[in-house]
Amino acid sequence: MSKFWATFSLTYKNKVKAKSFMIFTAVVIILMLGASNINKIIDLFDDGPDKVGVVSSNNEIYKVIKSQGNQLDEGAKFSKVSEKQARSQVKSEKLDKAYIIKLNDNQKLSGKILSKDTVSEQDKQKLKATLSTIQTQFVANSLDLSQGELKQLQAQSDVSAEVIANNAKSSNLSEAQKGFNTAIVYLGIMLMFFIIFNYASQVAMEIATEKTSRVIEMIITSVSPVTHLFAKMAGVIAVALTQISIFVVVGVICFLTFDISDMLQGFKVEPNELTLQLVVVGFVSLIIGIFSYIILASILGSITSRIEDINQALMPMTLVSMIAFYISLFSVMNPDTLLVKIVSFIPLMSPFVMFVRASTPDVATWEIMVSVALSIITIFVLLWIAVRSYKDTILSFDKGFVSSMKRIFNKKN
Amino acid sequence: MTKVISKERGTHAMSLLIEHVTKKYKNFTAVNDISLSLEKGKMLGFLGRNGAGKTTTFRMILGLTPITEGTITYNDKVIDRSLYNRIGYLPEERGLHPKMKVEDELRYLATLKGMKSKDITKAIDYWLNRFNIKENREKKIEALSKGNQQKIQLLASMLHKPELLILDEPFSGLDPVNVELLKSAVQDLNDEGTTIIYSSHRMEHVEELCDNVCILNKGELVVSGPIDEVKSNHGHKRVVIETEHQMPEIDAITGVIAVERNKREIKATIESEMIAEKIYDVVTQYGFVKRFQVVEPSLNEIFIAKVGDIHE
Repeated sequence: MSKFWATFSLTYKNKVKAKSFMIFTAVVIILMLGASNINKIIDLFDDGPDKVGVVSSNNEIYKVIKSQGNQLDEGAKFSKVSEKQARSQVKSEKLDKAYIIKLNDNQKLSGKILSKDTVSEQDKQKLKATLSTIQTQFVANSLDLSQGELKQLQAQSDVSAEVIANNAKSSNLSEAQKGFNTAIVYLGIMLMFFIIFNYASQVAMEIATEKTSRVIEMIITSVSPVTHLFAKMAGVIAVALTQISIFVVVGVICFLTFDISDMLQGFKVEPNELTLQLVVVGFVSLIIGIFSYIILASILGSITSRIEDINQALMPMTLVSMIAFYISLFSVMNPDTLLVKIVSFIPLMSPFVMFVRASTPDVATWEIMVSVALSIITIFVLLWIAVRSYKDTILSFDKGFVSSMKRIFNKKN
Repeated sequence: MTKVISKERGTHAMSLLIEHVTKKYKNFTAVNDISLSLEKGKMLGFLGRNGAGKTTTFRMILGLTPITEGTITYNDKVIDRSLYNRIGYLPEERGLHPKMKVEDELRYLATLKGMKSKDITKAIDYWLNRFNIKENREKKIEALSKGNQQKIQLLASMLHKPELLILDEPFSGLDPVNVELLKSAVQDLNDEGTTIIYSSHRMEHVEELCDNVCILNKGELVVSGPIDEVKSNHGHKRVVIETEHQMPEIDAITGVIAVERNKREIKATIESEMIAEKIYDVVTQYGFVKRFQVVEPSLNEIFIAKVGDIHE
């Protein structure tokens, strides 16, 4: 057992002391602190409410715009200016923007927005809507329509949507709740991918380095290869768990210290009954992902015969994880497709994809269980292959993936 | 140092016994039916050209490579992991963890051999000092010169004072000063009771250090035994006569294989020591000669005779 600990603690210490570990951890912590204070950070860059100049020969138009100002630009201050003033003041940034509104003979309004920045389509639409209302008002006045008649004229038909879900526990999430889940899934997938990929590559690298530097010959005449392999993998897994624990602790501290709920409201997202499921599935997926990818990487690392070939050897792993990563990333908004359903049961891909599915009410608990069970079986199968391959290929320098795989499976003695 | 080893010394004289061992890969026989034995505390030199099967044999002794036929035992036991703490191995291919510091690496590899932390510190202090590499203690392995890396690796294989030490070409690629340094360390270890097997291309090292020698050629064991015995059994000795006479009669003696002459010497290769007496009879007819000597063949000559080719 002390030999196991020797390798374990060496791997652990070296990895935790490594610069890459510290930098990655620090970056994520800074991002977490930033994210919990994002509303304050946004306020910091916000130079107060916009100042908007309105150019119009008609005083009434100015009054209506001023009264409906909040719809056009929340909290903005409006002032009446001449077109010349508007142009010079926008240029000198005394005004954030200016509306130039003209009324032609046919009672038709046209507006122009002056701004130093690009004008968003949204802003144009808002002004268009306001001007349309004013225009309608003018036309109504000229036609002598009463307010009641005008309302009747403007009344719109109702269209609403109702989601009929298949299973019992379905719940209708508000847009805000969906938004919250989406945010968690996006962040979760990226963090998961980076952690899993990072540590899997590290294991492969370690094993390949020991093999190609031939120090492995000294090691396995001291300790059984299986013990050594397990100690190495356990060491790296422990490093990954350490890192995750740090993130969790920082997350909890952020949650307790900063006013998260206020911020979430600011972004119009809110936690909901699926959040717990999402967090649990995410955590389980992360752990399963770490285990399965680290074991897979150790197989690939042990069949590498030259350290330069390590990227090539890791190709199968890179491919599988990339596919899973992109499927999940592109399915966050629409997790209810057949592809996502199928892939959420395929081991090595399921940790990413099932996590995405867990953000919707459409996934049944048994589906999650089956997916997890399949992943766990895969972990044991991979472990078996890893032990065989490690014992068998660590002293051989066969070139190529296929011949190494043949060795593993055709082993006679 | 001596105490630990002598305590564990068994009663068996033969510690390592290799019996009819064969290693076959698909269409290739790497080692063919070799048998050898080595007494406790002796040193065995393993000679052979590249690809003769030396490393394969070492790996079979260590249990790293499965044996196709035959048995290898150490103190009557098949070598397995329970013996690993008492065995040291320096592989032919040099390599350590390049990113690790010298002390950390030695400490790690010694811990894997079951050594206690306190003993490790003492041993590291002693050996780094003895090998004149104290200043490298905190350096990364990759920052060391090749020679120093090799010293560290040799240390890693023997820091735990093994009972059986297998060294695959320990001195190759070292400068003469370092060779002497390492040779003396190996010699000391042997004096303290460690049984040592080592392979080399340098005949003079084997001749100087080893009790026993074996020569492998294409997987076959062509010579094996104590060096003196091997030398005296090797038929072709030489007689060197330092004289100004030509002595043509020598050529006519049956049993004389070849005669070489130069201005001062006559060198005759003979089948056996008996022939030397007949040559002596001829020589005495000429009266005084400065030297008459029967020369044992050098290992180099035996090697060339057995393996056929000039060795690198």
